[in-house]
Amino acid sequence: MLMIGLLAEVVDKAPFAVGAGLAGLGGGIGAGLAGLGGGLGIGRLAGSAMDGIARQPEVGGRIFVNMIVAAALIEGFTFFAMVVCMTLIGKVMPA
Amino acid sequence: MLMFLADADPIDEVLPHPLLHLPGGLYVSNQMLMSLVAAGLILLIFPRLFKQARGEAPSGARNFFESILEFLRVEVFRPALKEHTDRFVPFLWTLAVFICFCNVLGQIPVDQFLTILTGREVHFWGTATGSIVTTGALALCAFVCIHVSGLLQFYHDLVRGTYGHHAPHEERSANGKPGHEAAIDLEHMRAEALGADVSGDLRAVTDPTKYYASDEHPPVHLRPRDGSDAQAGRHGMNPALAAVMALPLYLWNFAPHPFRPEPNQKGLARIGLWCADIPMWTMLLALELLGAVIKPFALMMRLFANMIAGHIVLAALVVLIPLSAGFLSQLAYGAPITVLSLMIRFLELFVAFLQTYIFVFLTTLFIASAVAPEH
Repeated sequence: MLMIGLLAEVVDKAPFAVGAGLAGLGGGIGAGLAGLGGGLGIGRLAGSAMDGIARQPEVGGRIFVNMIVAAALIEGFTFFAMVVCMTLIGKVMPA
Repeated sequence: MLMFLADADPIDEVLPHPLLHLPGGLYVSNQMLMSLVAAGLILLIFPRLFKQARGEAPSGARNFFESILEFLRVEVFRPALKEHTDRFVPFLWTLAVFICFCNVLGQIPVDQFLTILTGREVHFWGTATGSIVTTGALALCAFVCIHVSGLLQFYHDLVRGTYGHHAPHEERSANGKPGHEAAIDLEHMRAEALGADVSGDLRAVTDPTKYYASDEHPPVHLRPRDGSDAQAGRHGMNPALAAVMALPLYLWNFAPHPFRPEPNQKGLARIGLWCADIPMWTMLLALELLGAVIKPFALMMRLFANMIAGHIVLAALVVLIPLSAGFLSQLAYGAPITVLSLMIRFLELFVAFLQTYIFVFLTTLFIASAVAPEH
């Protein structure tokens, strides 16, 4: 609450335009969070796949294929977040 | 001359470059040209390779493409679409081949080679699927295919009188003829050799003489596909009425009914269940309609982002080299970045094929859920 109040004060009273910089900040933090989420998700997936292959090495091939498919799907929406963040940062860069 | 490549902006590989300016502010970009190049290559290669059915085992380029396409059909399309496979295989194969060619052509650094050779900045190569408009068009094709096929399926079911029949999915091709691969359809090939009929009617088992002697019950796979079926109790709807009713019934079945009453429940229980069902179903329908738009949208975003992400990472790495001052430090940066770039190029190539597979696999699943929903 305090930090939002502080931010609102800065936005109102600053002698320069804060909007574009905030977009850049949001873009950067968003990209980092997207990477975090994707990394956590795919890391869990890889861990479960390793466990499965360790239990039953003979179905290792099938587990690998399914792991790759699931990783591509998770990466899909991670990239979607990344594209949104790139759009935000694109607004900030001096054209 | 080598300096030209060092001068070039590494992000140029990702951006669209106008090649030909059209009136009205539009232009033909290098990515549009690349989709034409991919289409031209496909039209050059495939009809020539596959014009005639050869009796012997395929070899060479024909073997290469045939193995990939057959893998897709047998392992991806048929398990999802079952008896409707043959209807969608042309579209899905075209989609797969086009996306694969576009993706892989985008990984070839023709621009850079020509820049080194000619000394001018060349910008006519690129990744066709690296433009969100191309992937949007592909997702639009998938969307249209999914819902038009679903509507046509309902129309044909209404006209043939099989609407609402939970017939078990036949494991064979849709054109009435049995599947050709004996390795897959061995039971059916054997059954045909024995003259046996796969019938759901118990009378075929309890009184086979009378059942098979009558002409009213032709075997399942030899029944006519139009509405001229002579089965008792199956009367089709008037085609004009069916065309009008197809869309409402498609929407009625689009979302599941959580409280649908059983056919044998009557009276107050039936009314009560429908009263509970309709509001819930409306919410589920809203969600499903949203999903119907979001799923192709996700297909578009996934393919687009995967295609440009590799190039952007490469650009971000390569741009570090000239940032440092001095020849020796640039060399020290350059050597590991070059090795890393090679690894990333390999990864991009892998992602090119994988994203083709993902796009086509998901499109198959969506078509299957529209045309042959699991109960």
